[in-house]
Amino acid sequence: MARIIGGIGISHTPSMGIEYDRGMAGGFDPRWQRWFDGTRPVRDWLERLSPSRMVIVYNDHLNHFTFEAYPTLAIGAAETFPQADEGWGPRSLPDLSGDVALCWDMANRLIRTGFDLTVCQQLSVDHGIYSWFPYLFDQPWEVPIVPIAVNMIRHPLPTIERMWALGGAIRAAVEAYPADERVLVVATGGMSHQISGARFGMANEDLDRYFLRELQHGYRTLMAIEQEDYMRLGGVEAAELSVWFAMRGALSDDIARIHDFYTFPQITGCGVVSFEEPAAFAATPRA
Amino acid sequence: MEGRFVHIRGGDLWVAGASAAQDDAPAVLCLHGMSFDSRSWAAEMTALRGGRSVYAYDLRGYGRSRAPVDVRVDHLADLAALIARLGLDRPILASLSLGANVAMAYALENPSAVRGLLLASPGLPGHAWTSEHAPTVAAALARREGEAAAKSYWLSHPLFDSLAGQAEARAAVEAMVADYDGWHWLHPEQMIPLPCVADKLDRLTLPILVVNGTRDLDEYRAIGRRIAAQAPNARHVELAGAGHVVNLERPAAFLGLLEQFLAAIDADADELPPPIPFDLSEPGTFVYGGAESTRGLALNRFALSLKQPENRLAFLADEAGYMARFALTDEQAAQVRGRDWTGLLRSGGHLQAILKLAATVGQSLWDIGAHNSGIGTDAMQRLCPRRVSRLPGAGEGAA
Repeated sequence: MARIIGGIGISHTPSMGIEYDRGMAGGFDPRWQRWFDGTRPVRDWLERLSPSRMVIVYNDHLNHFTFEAYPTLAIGAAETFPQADEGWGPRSLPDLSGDVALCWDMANRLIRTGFDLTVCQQLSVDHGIYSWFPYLFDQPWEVPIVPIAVNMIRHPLPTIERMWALGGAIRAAVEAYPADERVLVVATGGMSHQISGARFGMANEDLDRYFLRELQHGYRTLMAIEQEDYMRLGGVEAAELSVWFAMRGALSDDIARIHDFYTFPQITGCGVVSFEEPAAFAATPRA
Repeated sequence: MEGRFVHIRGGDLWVAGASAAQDDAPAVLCLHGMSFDSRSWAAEMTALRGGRSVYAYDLRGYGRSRAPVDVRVDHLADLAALIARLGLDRPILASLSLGANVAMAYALENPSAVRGLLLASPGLPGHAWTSEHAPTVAAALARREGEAAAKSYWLSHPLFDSLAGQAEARAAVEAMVADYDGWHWLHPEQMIPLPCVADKLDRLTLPILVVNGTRDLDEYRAIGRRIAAQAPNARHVELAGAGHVVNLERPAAFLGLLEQFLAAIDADADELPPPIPFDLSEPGTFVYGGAESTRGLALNRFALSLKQPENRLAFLADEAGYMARFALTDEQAAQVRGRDWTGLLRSGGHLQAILKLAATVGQSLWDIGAHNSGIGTDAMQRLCPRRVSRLPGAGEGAA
């Protein structure tokens, strides 16, 4: 049977992707060198962990979905998930691959357990995934993904409690899947930032570090904070921290914290945390 | 000197000084040199008080700031957190030697977080030393023969030769070194190194004053000249007769330079936007919901169409003709023509959609944010990140 072996929470921002391309071509800007260096241990751990599948909970930024039909929750079910052109031409990166059988199996189970996801048989993915992905995974990108998109651009957003429950449902769906897959759950959303209004550029590093510190054991405390309070204190886009609970909710209470890192390069708090389940490296039990 | 402990990143940092009753001028934050502590800035702190906040802190592991137990020493993260916690709005950093290295690296990574740098006898992260580099030798000696041997080497190094005839400065230096426990020399593996600055001096565009002593080591003086030559807005001054510890050796002359430097920065202080409120009301924040989405449906359709290159060309060739394909209101069309980014958000434009329009007309997220805040784009770029510090459940905090 499939099982969850660990989880990652990570920020995303367009400049993270742009600076990766610049950095690899001609050296990193020092502010982004820190992020590159700070995410290396996660990359190295992932290489050792070598998950066979990944469930990635992320948010789109009007680059695939538009307001004609903007799903609150959606899941991809396709063999490939190409990069969305955000309007400045795609970066030279490969498509992400999907495991259609797992995608459908998860969609079916999630819908039956109360998460009425929109199923997308065509889904292009923007910097919500593509900005951080190259920092953590060297090419070729061989691990198939199951992308789950969460509306974070128009209120009302799914609640923190709902994201937590989604995590639990993801875990149940993975554990019911008959193939021997070792599954990593990733959630991505910006940390403190606000990119419009007169509060543009606000940066609450203390809030972000507090969140990273408490996510492992103090998640109940974090969940008791209103989504609106995250927005007041960390900027309106800090609501994207809600997405992180879908990862934490998919993990057990016995996880070990492997690494965390935080920096504030420009106008978005950039953080990453990785957790490992106790039996992550144990041989897969035969059914 | 009065002061207090500020809890940052799992430990307490000692901060000497206090906020001014009324801040008429930007705050000054002082960073000491290796094996020293905040006491080395006592004269400057006394002289500058009144009208502006002046602080000096003990870098982690120095003075009264204890060495960490389970985190690595990251002077840059400490400085960023300290500035936020003290609620300093773009302070001026006055720094000596090691402190100057930290100040430069911080300004490079946070170009808008600092108004100016006074660099006394700076080193230069990333510089390859050709002469004996005393901190490296002291660290090796400390690990091999212990802290006492390292301190004895350190104090007798030519770096401090010029102190021989200056009883007061020498006593101050000896007192600080006596209290230093050599932690950084003994625990290099627990130090996060500063990023390279040497090859990026051209990016240090803020006002900088470099001060060296004529009796300092040649290589430090050469570094001072190099920083002044390569950083676009830097000036270099040498104080006759002083050595490395230039502020303690020529206190009056040094203070004069510092005051001149501060006065020049005060004179061209930018007009600042209002402080950041911790609420979600306009114009600080536009929360995007159903009403906005209805109002902006056609506008967002128009803006998102500009993701396609052929549409960008069509729009640029004939803005009015292209807009006519979408059912924009007259007001929205006028806002597009006027590049009225704030108006477009009020008219239901979603930031992620309006961004495509900005990019099409050669503007960026920065232009939108600056327009929303009522300041120029350059000023906004200097200002960001606009650090605030407040945790859930806390009372009124600094913005």
